Amino acid sequence: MADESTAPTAAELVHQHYELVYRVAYRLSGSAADAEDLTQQVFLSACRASEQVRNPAAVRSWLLTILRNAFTRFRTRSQGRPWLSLENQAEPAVAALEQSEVDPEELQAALNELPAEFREPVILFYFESLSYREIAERLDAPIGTVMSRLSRAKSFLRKRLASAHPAST
Amino acid sequence: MAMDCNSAQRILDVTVQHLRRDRETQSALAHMRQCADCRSVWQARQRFDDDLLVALDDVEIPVGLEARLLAAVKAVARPNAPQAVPPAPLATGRPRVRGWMAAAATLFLAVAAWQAVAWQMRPRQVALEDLRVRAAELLEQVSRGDDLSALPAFDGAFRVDGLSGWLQSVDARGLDLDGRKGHDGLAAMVQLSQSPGSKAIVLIVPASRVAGASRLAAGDAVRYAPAPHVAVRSGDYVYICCTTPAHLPVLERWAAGAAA
Ligand SMILES: [Zn+2]
Repeated sequence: MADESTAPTAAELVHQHYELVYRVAYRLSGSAADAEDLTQQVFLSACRASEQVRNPAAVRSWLLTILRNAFTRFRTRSQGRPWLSLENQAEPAVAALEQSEVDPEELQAALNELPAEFREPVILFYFESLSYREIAERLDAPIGTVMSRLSRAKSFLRKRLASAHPAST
Repeated sequence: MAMDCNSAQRILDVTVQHLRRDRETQSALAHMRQCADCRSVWQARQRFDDDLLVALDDVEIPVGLEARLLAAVKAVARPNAPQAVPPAPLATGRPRVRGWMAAAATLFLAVAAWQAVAWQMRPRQVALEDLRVRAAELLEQVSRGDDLSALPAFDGAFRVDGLSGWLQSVDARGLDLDGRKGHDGLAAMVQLSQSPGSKAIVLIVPASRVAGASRLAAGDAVRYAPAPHVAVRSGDYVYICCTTPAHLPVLERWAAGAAA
């Protein structure tokens, strides 16, 4: 392990984390061009502040926090996605879930249908393995709101993706 | 079975580490143990989540992205960079630094400076999650046969009551979690038995430095997979212990009793 008091260089920051940041940016924004712009913004911001980085273990979540902030600015500029009703969804049957296969492109299409307020907790849940309580802390949002959004978003994804591959039985 | 099926399924669905010991999750787990329906729903959802995680990761990285990012970062970092001149286009992929970069760079600098300040202004606390990651990384390191000698010796910046003898016996190493002078955590490798697989990492951090430490009641534990780990608040310290599943209970008992 390198001396932990050494701040990473810009090249190290980019090299170690650009794939993760790009993947999350892509899943958040739904487009390769937007994901690349967001990724660039993240590293421009991060590299300016990288002198202060002393805790390598926290860099990943720090970068993703910068990404979330950049994405928030980005989506306020490009509002207008139709609001999707997530109410009253019937969960797919267990058998349908068990036999479904998640296709990466269908997954992105489903994520794109989710309003950003619902997409963010889902991304945090899966990419950062955070529970709803921790997500509420990161997003600085009420626990009840986060739990409800995460729960409805996950339910939406199951319904959307499991019904894309209906059980054969 | 105090909790109903809907509530139990909902809670377990949004809790990544379902072994978390808060009361709500425990009630949901207790329900699931006695309810075959909820068990089968939960198992199917877990399997679906695993699939979904793999699919989420399946994003094609654009060719030349790393080089373009580096070029953009360097263009902004150069103090007297010619403002409107984009760096030479790279062999593959489109150039990302365009004319609007000059104006945007100013904004980015402001945002970056603000973020640097915000980062510095944050309470100097570390997320439990980050400590878990650190412990898991160190465990991986010692499992490969390395020791912790790359870390500086613990500078004794804080005293762990009742453990001074133990600390001398384990070659405690210091952690600088907040980038300020002095160690604010310590790490030690512990060999729990003769078996080479029984290595464990123990991190000890004053509870005041750990975000969310107040949620960890004394003796409360959090387990994570795949790097099995337990976090225990005992006295004024948080103990983060990471080892194999078989050895975890030993460490858990030790940490819970360490400062008792
Ligand atoms: Zn039930």
